Amino acid sequence: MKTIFHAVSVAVLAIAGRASAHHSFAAEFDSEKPITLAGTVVRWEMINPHGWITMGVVEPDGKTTEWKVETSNPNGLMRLGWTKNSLKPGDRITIDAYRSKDGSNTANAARITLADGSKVFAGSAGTPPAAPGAPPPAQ
Amino acid sequence: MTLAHSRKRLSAIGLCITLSTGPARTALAQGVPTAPTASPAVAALPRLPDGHPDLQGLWLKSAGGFQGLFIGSLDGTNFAAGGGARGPAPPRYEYTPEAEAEWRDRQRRNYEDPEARCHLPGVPRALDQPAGLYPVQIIQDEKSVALLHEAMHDVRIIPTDDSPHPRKYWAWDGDSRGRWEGDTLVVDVANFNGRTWLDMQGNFVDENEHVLERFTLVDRDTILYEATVTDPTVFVKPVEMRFTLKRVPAEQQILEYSCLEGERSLQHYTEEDGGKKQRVR
Repeated sequence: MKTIFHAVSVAVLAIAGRASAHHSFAAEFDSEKPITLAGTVVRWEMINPHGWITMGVVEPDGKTTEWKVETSNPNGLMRLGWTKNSLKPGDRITIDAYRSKDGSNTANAARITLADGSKVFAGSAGTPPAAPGAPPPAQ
Repeated sequence: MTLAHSRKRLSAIGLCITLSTGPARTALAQGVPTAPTASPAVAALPRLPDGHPDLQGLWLKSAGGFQGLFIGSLDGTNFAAGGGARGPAPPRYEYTPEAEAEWRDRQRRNYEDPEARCHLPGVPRALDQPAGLYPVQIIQDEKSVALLHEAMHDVRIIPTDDSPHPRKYWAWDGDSRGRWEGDTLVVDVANFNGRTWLDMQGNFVDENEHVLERFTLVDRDTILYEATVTDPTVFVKPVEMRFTLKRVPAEQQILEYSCLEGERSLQHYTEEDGGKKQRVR
């Protein structure tokens, strides 16, 4: 996948948007609550209007918690090189994301770091840039 | 295009987009272009046998300063969130006092935005989608122009015979009737159902909405889109919108958009946006 992304990255394209793709980012997620989720892919659903990554995150106490992470519109991701096989169950990934306002284990992805260290974009137009050093989940 | 997004194909598409968008970047950095007058560029516009400009192709709303298919790069950067490109000026909404109160209240009722519920966007929101994300395909013959929007799988088939609107029909996208004024396609849109939000910020119209759209092919790869939205029970002045659509490389195509399948966001909306969940600080 890294090769795919590098191939496409020759077309680094900037564009300004004033809203999220399908719904208001701010209505669901909290830009003041960045979070870094490190864990294992359970399921990758490349569906409209937003893709969803289900992942297991190992908490400091050793328990595994399931998180649902929303990505950008899958059609846009497909044009970036994503496929339904880009994330496979068992893949170890790290997602820089923003927590939902309702406090559930739901987040909006800004950037995903793959097991090989490569970073890929996953956010919507309304997603803030990934905040470095975001705290891990606290239960 | 097949959807076998092989590495080689994606590389080719990426290069194609980069090359095709280079000149546009310079031109559009100066802002949204004006409608062209008679010039060699106009004379060179692609045309159908009936003499009208050929609008056919796949088009994408431009942010103004740059044109592309993507809102992010693959090193994890979100250009859209960072801004930087100078896009068209946002429209000005001048409400009646009653409508302004309603607009302010709707900003706390994002939960009700019809598009978040996968309803059709209405006009002009069908085209006024986030820049660089959802293309629209235009198909045209001597009798009609069809707009096939990827977003929401929205379809508008516009007769270009300047025929009247039907008397007993109301819809999310209203009813569109077109005519050619010189090289500009002018579309009169009425018969709205009155439930449309114009954006995610609560701007809205009611059943008295009326839209006049103008599609002008500025050059073979650029359409200037202008819309005038009037609604005497909502606005004290017409709302003017203006932005460009840029041609997308032919390798691309409209993709499926089955909105309800992955709509899992509304369940997380909190009370401050009209939702059912409590905000957790």
